[in-house]
Amino acid sequence: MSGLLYKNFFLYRIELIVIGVLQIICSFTVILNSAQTGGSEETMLLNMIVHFSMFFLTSLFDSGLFANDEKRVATCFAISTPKGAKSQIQSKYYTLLIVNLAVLFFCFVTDVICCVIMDSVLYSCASFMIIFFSFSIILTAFGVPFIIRFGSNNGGNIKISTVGVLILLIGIYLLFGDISFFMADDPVAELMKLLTAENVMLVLSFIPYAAIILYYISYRISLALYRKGAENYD
Amino acid sequence: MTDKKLTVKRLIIFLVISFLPFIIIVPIMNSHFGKPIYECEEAIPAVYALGVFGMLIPSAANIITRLATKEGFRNSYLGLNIEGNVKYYAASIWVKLAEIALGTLLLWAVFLKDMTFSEVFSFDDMKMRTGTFLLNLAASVIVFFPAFGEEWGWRGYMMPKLMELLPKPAAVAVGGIIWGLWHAPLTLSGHNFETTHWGYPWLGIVLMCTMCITFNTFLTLITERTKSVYPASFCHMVNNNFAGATWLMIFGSQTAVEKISEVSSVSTFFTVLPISVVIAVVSMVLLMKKKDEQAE
Repeated sequence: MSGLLYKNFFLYRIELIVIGVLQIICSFTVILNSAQTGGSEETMLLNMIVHFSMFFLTSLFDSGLFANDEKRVATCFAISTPKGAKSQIQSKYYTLLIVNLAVLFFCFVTDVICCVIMDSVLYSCASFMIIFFSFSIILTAFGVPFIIRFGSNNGGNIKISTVGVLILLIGIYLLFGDISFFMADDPVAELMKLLTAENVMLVLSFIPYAAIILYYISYRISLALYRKGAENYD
Repeated sequence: MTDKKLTVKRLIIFLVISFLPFIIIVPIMNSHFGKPIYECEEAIPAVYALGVFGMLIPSAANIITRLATKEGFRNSYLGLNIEGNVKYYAASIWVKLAEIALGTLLLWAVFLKDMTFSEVFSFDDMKMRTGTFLLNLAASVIVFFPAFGEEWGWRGYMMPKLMELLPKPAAVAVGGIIWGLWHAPLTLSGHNFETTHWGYPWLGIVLMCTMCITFNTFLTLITERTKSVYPASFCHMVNNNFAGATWLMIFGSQTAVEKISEVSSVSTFFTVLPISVVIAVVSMVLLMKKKDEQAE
């Protein structure tokens, strides 16, 4: 497994560098924002948006991990090894999980630095980071089986299209749904109140566990689709 | 240089690197804030940062020692080794959660005995309380990083070295004492035990060492059985995220929470200690059992 992980990180190095640069930019943005505006709910909301963007962007690079292995020779070789396709797929899922955990770690360290700068832990985004991390894992869990079955290009397009549909649905809600909290005197405080409301809190609390289960289900589906997907390779 | 002398040398280098930062930084922070940092509200963000980065020191010491002494990274306990060890991974979380839950019940039995179960544990707002508990448990993943920072140092480096030099029970005890003494600058600043307790400053350090010895036994067991530092990291992360009377804070009534807050940390420590001792004894028996089976 360690050999496969090393291979994955080597093949994924360009994307990792890009993710690293994006992480540095996001961290600087959050730290500068905290230093300039100080501790407030607006600062916290902006920091949350930046952290969420970081996790979202990381999940968009998933297909790059599979592109270099999309050759029939490589796939046949992987299947012929003692542990077969299972270890190959496992290593991909471990790699993506490790990358997401690394992003979570750097976002957490950034948040700690922001708390010191703002001289308060009240506006820490740490508890929301686990939700953002879970969303990234769910996005990855959703996209990887498509990538394995249809190839990195087509699979990536399907994933981006699905995210686009979700964004469209959110847009439709914003146009026609209940957005009374935007009209309130303090919309940020109203949004924070909404996020920490009883029912919302309960739903949010299940997301990390759903992410673990979906990630495992995705792995099992990918295992089943691996051979079929290899038939599309050159 | 013999193997044992080399092991001792590496251990000394590791311990010096691990101990120095807190010995230097914590007194400076106490002086800056004018009082023990864990009892100073203005110091909360700084203490938060100290906790997060301070817990990474043992891992940094591990890396520096390995590079400086050209030890390499073999036997680094970084592999997952899940196959055949799922029960230890599961135990790393449920044993700690069960210990904390039983501790909460003991706190009720000792300090809230004049209150009924329904007076102590409130079932109002169950959705909010359940959501808070589940989110707290999930958010333990964030605490994983500092927990790994400590575990890779103590269980991943120090304990294997100590077990090369000493019999297992002695190694576990010595390891726990070292770990407890590492916390001493923090303990003296009000971490875990307030600075107003009877016997301050020495009693707090002794109790911290005791806590570390009992915890070290279980952590060493799951590390040695899996040859991986991750189960110990998971256990440590749950311990730190659900420390003290967290279950009571989440599910307890306002009255119960206020009453428990008035009890000294030394008293609560002695109340929950028996559970930790039981777990430590069972862990030590299991740790020794493997050695006996190999000897046969």
